[in-house]
Formats: sequence, C-alpha cells, structure tokens
Amino acid sequence: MIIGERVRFRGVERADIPKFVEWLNDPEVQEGILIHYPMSQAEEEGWFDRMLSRPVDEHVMAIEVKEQAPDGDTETWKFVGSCAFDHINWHIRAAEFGIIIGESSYWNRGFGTDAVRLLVQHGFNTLNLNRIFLHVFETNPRAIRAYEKAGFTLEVRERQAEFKHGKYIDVLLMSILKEEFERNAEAA
Amino acid sequence: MIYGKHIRFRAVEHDDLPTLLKWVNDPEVQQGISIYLPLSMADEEDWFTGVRKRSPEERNLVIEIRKPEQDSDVFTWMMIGGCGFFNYDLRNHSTEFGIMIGDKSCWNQGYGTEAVRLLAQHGFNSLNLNRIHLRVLENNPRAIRAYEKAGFTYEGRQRQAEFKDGKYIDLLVMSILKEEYI
Repeated sequence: MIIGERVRFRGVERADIPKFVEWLNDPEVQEGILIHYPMSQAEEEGWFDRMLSRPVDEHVMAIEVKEQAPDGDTETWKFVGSCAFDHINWHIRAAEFGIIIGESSYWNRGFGTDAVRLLVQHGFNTLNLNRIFLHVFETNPRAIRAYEKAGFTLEVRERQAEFKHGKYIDVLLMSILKEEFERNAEAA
Repeated sequence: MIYGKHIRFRAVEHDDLPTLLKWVNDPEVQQGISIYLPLSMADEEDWFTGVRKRSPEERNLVIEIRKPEQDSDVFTWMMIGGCGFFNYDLRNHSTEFGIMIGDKSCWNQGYGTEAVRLLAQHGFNSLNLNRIHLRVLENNPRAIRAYEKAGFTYEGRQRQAEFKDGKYIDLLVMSILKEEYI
C-alpha cells in the first residue's frame, strides 16, 4: 500500500473490474482518456489479465480516498480511480503515467492532484526515477491544472496528435524532473 | 520503390545486414541514434525478422543514392542509410519516424534532407497521414538543420530524456502537418 494524507494506492483486484467498466463507458470520463469504443466486461477482464503479466512496477493501482464512517470515528476508504506507470525506461530512469478519477462526484476536490503528487513521490523516492511525464489533451484544463499544481511543466505541444469529435486536437506533454521534485520538497 | 531526385527508398534485404551492422556499431553514427550497446550479427538477424513482422507501413526502408558509372550513361544505386516509420497510429493518421545516414562519406551533402522530404511525401501522399513527427538529440545540430530545411517545426523539448556520455540530454520534438506540407 502507498499511503498519502488523503489518498492511498492499493493493488487492483479482479472484483474492481465492474467499476472500471462503468467508468470507462462514462462519456464524461472518456473525454479525458484514449478509450473511444464501448468497453465490455470481457474486454476489461482481458485488460486485467494482461496487466498482471506486465512488470510489477507497471501494475495498475487503485486510488482510494479517505473518508469518515458515519459514526465519526473509523476511517473508510472509497475507491475512486486508478493510476499506473507505463513504459518505464530503466536506462534513462524515465516513465510515463496515466491516471483517471472515474467517480465524477469526486472531481474538483483536489484528489487528482493529491494522487499525482503521491505517484510522483513513489516514482522518485521508491522507483529511483529521474524523469516522470504524461500526455494530456489540450481540451482537459482540469487535468492540466492538477498536473501544474503537482509541479509539472509543459514541454511539448504535439499538434493535431489526437482526433476527437470530428477534429484534430493537440496533445500536451508535461514532465517533472527529480531535481524539481526535491526543490519543491525543500520549499514546502 | 519510392523515387526522389537523387535518392530512392527500397525494402531492406537480408544482404543489407552486414552493412547496417557496421553502421549501427560506428561510434560516430551512434552519437545520433538511440543504440548504446554493441550489436551482433545475431541481433541484426532478429531485427530483420522483426521488421518483416511489422505492418507494411512501418517496415524499414533503405536509402540509396544514384551514382553514375564511369564513362557510361547507366546508373548504379548505392546504399547510404535507412529510415522508417514507427509508432504508427492509424486512427489519428499520425506517425513518428527515424532516419540514419550510415555512410559517413555522404554526410553534409543534403542527402539526409532529401530523404526526410521524400519520406514526408510518401507519408502524406501515399499513406494519407496528417502528422509526422520525430525526436532528435539536442546536441545534433546537423540533423536539426536538415529537419528544418525539410519543413519541420520545433514543438518542444523532452528534458533529460536521453543519457549519453555520462549525462542526461534533452530530446527535441519536431513535426510537420499535412496542411503545412502542401
């Protein structure tokens, strides 16, 4: 388990698959991701099995948000999304990542930013990475803002790199380097 | 076969492997590419098998230049390098490419620029692409200049995205769109 203040990451379980099917078929969620076709439970099961056969450091992690139980005392954790590193290059010590907050009632509350911060911390402090980057659609200002708040810098505008709703849109490449992560940690 | 003014592209043949192996093991050539370990003939054979398994659009091409025979009207063709598309995205009509002029006696003569132009022409006019991009090391001004001359635009800089000679260096992303090409 990777535990932050408001969010934590745990391994994805087979029992989580129906939630993924629900989220990935949500048109609002699809606005921000690469999936553009109806996703079936069977396809998602195939995705889960393929994921398990990949290197452990690229396994998908479930994002959970800390909540108070109604009795006010005990903590419960609510499953709201997922994230993972992808294409880890151990020679360059660089990795890309992807993230979704599938529970739309949890949008605009800073949980995405918290999850990105926790993933970055895991990447630099545990995986010993030097560079972490991501791709985001120019049409997704909420995500771009979250990445900026988590310390990411815009590097490249890949012009017309994605086709959505009948037209080409730009894809932004953003990154954070270890030296920036350490500087931010000192400043905080 | 894809013909330009002074150059042409043909498919890679098994007989090309020794020449390609010599090039990718040349330290000067390696300065501009992502290979950093010694490659064997067996590695090169595996690469060739892999090329033939890729989609036709993504199979590597050999770059040849036209050479007039002494005292004759006939031409022979001489292999000077290779190029090819990869990360080919059918839905977005977008691709990345790589190119290498392995024969160092042919550097600085405009062949790289002509090959990049011919590859872009092939991508836009035959393959119906909308976007072609590449990544180049920041310390390779000769290549950057060739891409600029061929009409490519600088899009951004992937910081510390390569490691060479003991330090991290940046990769520049450059692209050309169909609307710019026409």
